[in-house]
Amino acid sequence: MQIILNGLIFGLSIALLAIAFQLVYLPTRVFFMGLAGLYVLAPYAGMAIQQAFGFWPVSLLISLPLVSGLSVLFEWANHAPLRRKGVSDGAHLISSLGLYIILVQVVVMIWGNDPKTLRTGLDSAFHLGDSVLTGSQLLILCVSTILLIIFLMILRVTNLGLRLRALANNPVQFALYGYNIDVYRLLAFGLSGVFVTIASLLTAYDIGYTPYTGLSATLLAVVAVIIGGRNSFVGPIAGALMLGMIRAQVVWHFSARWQDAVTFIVLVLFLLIRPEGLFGQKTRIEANIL
Amino acid sequence: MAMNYIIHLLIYFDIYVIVALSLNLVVGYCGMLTLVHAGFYAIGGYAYALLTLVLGWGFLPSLLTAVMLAATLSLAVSLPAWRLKGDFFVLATLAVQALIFSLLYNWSDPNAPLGTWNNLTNGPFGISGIPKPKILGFTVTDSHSFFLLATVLAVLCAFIVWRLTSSPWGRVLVAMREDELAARNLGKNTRMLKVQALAIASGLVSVAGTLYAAYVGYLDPSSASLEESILMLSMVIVGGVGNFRGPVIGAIVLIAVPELLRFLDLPDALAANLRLAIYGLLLVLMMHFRPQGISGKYRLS
Amino acid sequence: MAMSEKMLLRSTRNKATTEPPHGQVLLRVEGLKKAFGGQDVLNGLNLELRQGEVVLLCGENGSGKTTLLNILTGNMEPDAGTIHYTADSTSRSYRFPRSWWQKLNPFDHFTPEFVTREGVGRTWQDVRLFGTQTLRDNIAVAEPGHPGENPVLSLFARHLSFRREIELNRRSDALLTHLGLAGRGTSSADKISLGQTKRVAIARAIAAGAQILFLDEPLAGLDRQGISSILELLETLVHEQRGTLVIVEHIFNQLHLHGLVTTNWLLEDGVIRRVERNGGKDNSEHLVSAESRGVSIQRPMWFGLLAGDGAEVVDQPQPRGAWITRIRRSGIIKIPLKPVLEIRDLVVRRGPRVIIGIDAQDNQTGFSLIVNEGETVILQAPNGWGKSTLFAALCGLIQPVAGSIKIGGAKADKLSTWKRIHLGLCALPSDHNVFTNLLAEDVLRLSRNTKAIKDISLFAKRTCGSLSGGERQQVALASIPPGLIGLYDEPFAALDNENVHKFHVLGTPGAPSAQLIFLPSHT
Repeated sequence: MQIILNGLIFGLSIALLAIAFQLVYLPTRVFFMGLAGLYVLAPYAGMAIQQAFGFWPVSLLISLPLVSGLSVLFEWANHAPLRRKGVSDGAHLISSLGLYIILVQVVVMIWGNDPKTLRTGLDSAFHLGDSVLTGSQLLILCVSTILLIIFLMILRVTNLGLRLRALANNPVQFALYGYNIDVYRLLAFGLSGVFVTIASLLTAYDIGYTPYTGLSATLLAVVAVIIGGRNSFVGPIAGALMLGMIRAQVVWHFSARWQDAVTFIVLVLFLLIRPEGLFGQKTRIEANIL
Repeated sequence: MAMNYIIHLLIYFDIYVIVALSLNLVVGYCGMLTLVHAGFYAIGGYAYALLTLVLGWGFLPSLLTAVMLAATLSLAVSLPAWRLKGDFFVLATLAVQALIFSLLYNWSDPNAPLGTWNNLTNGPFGISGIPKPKILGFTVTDSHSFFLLATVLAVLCAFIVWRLTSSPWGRVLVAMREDELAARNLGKNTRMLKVQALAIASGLVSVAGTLYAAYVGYLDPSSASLEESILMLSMVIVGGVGNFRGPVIGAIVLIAVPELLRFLDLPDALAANLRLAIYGLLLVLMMHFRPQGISGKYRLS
Repeated sequence: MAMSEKMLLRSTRNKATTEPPHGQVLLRVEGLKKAFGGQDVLNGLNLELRQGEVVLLCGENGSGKTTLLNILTGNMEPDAGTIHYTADSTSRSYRFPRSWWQKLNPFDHFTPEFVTREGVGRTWQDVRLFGTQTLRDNIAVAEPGHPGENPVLSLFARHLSFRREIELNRRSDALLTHLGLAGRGTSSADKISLGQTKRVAIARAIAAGAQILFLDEPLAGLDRQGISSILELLETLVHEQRGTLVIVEHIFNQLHLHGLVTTNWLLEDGVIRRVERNGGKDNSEHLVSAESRGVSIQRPMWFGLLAGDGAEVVDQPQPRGAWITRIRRSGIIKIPLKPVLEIRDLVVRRGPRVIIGIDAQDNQTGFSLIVNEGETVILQAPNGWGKSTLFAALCGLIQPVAGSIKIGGAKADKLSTWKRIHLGLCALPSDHNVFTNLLAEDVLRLSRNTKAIKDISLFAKRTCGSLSGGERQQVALASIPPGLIGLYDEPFAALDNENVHKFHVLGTPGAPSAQLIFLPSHT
């Protein structure tokens, strides 16, 4: 039970990041590695602001728009101009990797590369049946679940959600209905920034942060997207939860240091056996090409 | 002193040229973006280190074994390439790269001696005291003769790449890059082609890894890190893919950048980070203003 | 080798062989089945192909011609059936469905490269030459069994392939000369005209050892001169080397092939009906009459729908086989004429090639068209003419090289897609015009057309991806936003007679004030 709970909570934090990735990938088809840079920046920025004001809601209120704003800036200054030039997906990926490297190095230059944590003092513990949850784990559980539910509601019920799904599904026809694609792309990047900030702050509060956690966390999220189904918003959540469980099992049965190896073996297995993911469907086009 | 510094740079240039040319075989000629190259580089280095340090082998047999090992392990990338295209192939290479890094980092046990089954890599502490190359009873100790050795190997690798890319094999490789389906409909076994190209590229880059391990004498898992792969990729992309000159130019640029930074008199730690940031910036700027690289005609797709 | 590029080069022309095409069987297919999403495309299809046959594969749009071609060339796996390739000395059979152990055996795959080695070649509608390679390399790369393609040999035993390379380059150059491309061996493949690329593609497939050649719309998008040069090449293949061809061609261009074709395969209800045509001579009149109608302008069923009674109709020929039909119905046409869409001197490229704005001699003349308020203008053009390119340029999906576009009097050629829509453009692409993941009613909500829900009430709650082609087209039609000028690319495709009436004809509520309709020119 404890293992499942640990896996679930870790899975939820990946799920937030996976949604952040999908929010950009589905509507824009940009493989957004800059996300890892934003993930790194968020806790450092939050910490700096907290030290200046000493009150965590202010820090959240400032770092959230700051990181989303940067995400929007990435689209406005990098991906949108590239799209207008009609470059390949590979060029988006490479430039996005470049943005990640710049951001991480800037963070290291300002704040150094020692491990840090947002939490001060010891964590409180809660008993849930025969398993124990720390306060920060409980925080992750509640915030992520609420956020994911709100997000899925927005996606299903509101017009905004419909438009995001439509943009993800068929951007050309979306534009032919008179919607300004550029605006909705910026919006997608901004929303992605919100999700990555919250995911990053929660994890930083729980287990701390270094400038190098961003890339591995983002890669985990991408793995969750692949095994969940890359053409859906729901699939990655399921994928993330599954991944969290698997990793928790690995920690329990073997050792924490083999988590990454097992994760990527799972990825390769999925890529080879079920490339469309848990929730994906083979489209007619894909099924045809041998 | 100045002479030694130049020799040192030239040795690095030799190593980078091998890396860039071999990576170009995959990225430029096959059109497959890969992030696993540093993994095979490190495998070459580790194979050399263990064979010489633990088994006491000479340079040439260790080098050949390293090449064979890397070429064989490249199947881990080329088999997924049968199915996966584009971003998802990149991801698969990333997965293999994470696997290699994880193996090098974790295959250790502080209680077991280095090189045994329980402690193959010494984990995060790395392997130190890697012997200098011993060739036919002659040990290469000073940097001048090491430079000679590195240059001979770099020229050999360059010759192999040049000969292959200008051969009918290289022609089919370009055809596959341009339109894989059309190439297959001309009866070309593109699956085999991918296996061959990746095996050759991985074998060649393990030569560079071997040289690095022998020159520096110390190796840790960070040489298999993703950052290292990205660095290699930026070398090829900055120079321009799909031709012979581009990677060489890329290697020069990426060696020149940190050396120029030296003149700014920055603290050491800051300079290293600034160097990486500049590589990142180069990647972004190249994509915007010259996606075909400094001396390229073909654009990455 | 029945046909090789050496024979292609023979300068002395033999007299055409008059032997009827009853040579050796090269390809036999039994019980071929293929279904997409539960819908049968091929349903127990049998066929036999003999040496020297020239087959024209006919059938309605969507009848599975391309599917059959893809299967026979190894590009797609059928669900069931058997295919025997007997063109090569070593014959080979594939039985479907394949068992799991056959899928594991790397030497027994049903893939294009294995089928090609059985002497089957193909060309594509969109040609697919290797763009950055030189023309010489494009042909040389096709050489089968070249020792230099083994990296070990080309590294250590270069002498083995050296002579062959010289010979290969010489042959490639000679072949290019034969194709009218003398001295162009080193120019890159994306710099020659469409007709030339198509000829190089055919030569390339032959050079790869093809004895059966499948041609996917070899004449599409070509002018008269391009067509005759392709025909000349095919005639050489057929008459001098008894080559075996299977041609899929649009009905508009089928007329040109009559002198060549020996057999018609009619693909209907997933099976093939075979029609002999007796050694290439034209004596099957029912087919001729059916096809020759294709070149004149049609007044088919939808014409009555658009024109109604008492309309003024003007036909206007355009370069490269296109027609513009202008319908002005009394009561709807506004006098004086007020243009709502003005296209002047438009030139549009796709890749390196100019698609829109050239005449039959490839001169850049620019494309001009004015649609006035109350007019329905129909552009009928063969496949490959560039209708979807023109559509994309008008919608702002691709940038034209030259010319101007005005929508409702406002200059629009630099505007983004959504700004053109706000000017009053309402556009319906020919495909991918719905959102496969969304419910049909959500699509209407998205396009702010919720009133049209009555048109699609039967399937409003289903996702578009699960709808049939016709139902999807109904959703697409119902969700076109109202506007000034309606731009429709093949709006009647996949619609049956009953649902064609759901099209918003000018004058009905919900219709724009003028329409420009692109249609493929066939019955």
